[in-house]
Amino acid sequence: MHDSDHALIKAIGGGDHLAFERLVQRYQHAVLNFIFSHTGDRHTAEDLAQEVFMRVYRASSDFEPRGKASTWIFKIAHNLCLNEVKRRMRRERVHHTLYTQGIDAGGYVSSQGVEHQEYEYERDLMPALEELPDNQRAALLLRVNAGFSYAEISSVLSVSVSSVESLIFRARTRLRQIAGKQ
Amino acid sequence: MRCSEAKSKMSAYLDGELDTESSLALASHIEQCATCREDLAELQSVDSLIQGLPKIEVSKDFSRQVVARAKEWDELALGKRPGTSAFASFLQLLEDLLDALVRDKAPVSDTLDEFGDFPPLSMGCIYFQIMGQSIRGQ
Repeated sequence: MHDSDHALIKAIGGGDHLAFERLVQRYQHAVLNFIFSHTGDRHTAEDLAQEVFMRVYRASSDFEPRGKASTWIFKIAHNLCLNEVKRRMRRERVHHTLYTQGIDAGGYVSSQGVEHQEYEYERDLMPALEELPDNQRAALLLRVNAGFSYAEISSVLSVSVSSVESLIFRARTRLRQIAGKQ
Repeated sequence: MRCSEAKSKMSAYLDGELDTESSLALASHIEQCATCREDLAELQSVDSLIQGLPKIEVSKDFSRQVVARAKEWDELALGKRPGTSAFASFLQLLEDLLDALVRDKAPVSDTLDEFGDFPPLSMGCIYFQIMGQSIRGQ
């Protein structure tokens, strides 16, 4: 039986580790890749993703089931990403991290040579994605990759729905300019 | 609908976030306007590129590691840190030595309850809980 997120969080607040593990497994892939899209570094993404779930665990007894649990979790992830981005000096290009390392059979980024077919617009897309303002990038990724509605994204980013529309519009416009050069 | 208005609404249309009236108007415009049709296709291709960007797989023991951290946090928060029994033995030995050396010893409290005014879950509270349990041999 598929427990709702709210039921799991309530159980977690009561000290149920099994419920916590189920919640982690439910969101780990989406959270990890959301963070990875911001940081471009696997190890940092895993550390931050762990921290996201630890914050969820510690705050579970205080969670009020008014909003969706998913927006709450991604709000935590977004805030941690912002902190990380502010802390890091963006010296390494995201595309360098991704495209100078190969992908092994297990789907992990390894330090082997590149077998991945490189598309020029992808190589341009990654730096362009990285250079977007944080809110634009976050809004676009939450929409396109995580499938969040504008209302959900507004909750995650603490902006109005009309602002979300504007953020995504500007992000797409910028990336389209890059892709359109190819 | 004019092209300028269509372009401004295209992103929201793509996301299914337009109201019904605007969606129908835009759909009708796109049917008749090749330029706007091409613009929409380009926006869709941007989304496809983003969706096709490399993703990383979650390591198999990720959830197990997170749960282990949560259990460790529980132990710290509840003052049940493992390894305090050995430390308690050391403290008892130290206390015995001090008793043997000092003739006129002042009354020594064997409890740290007097330090119990730290806020719950603060480092000070947790530390003195551990120390108190160690001294009591728990």
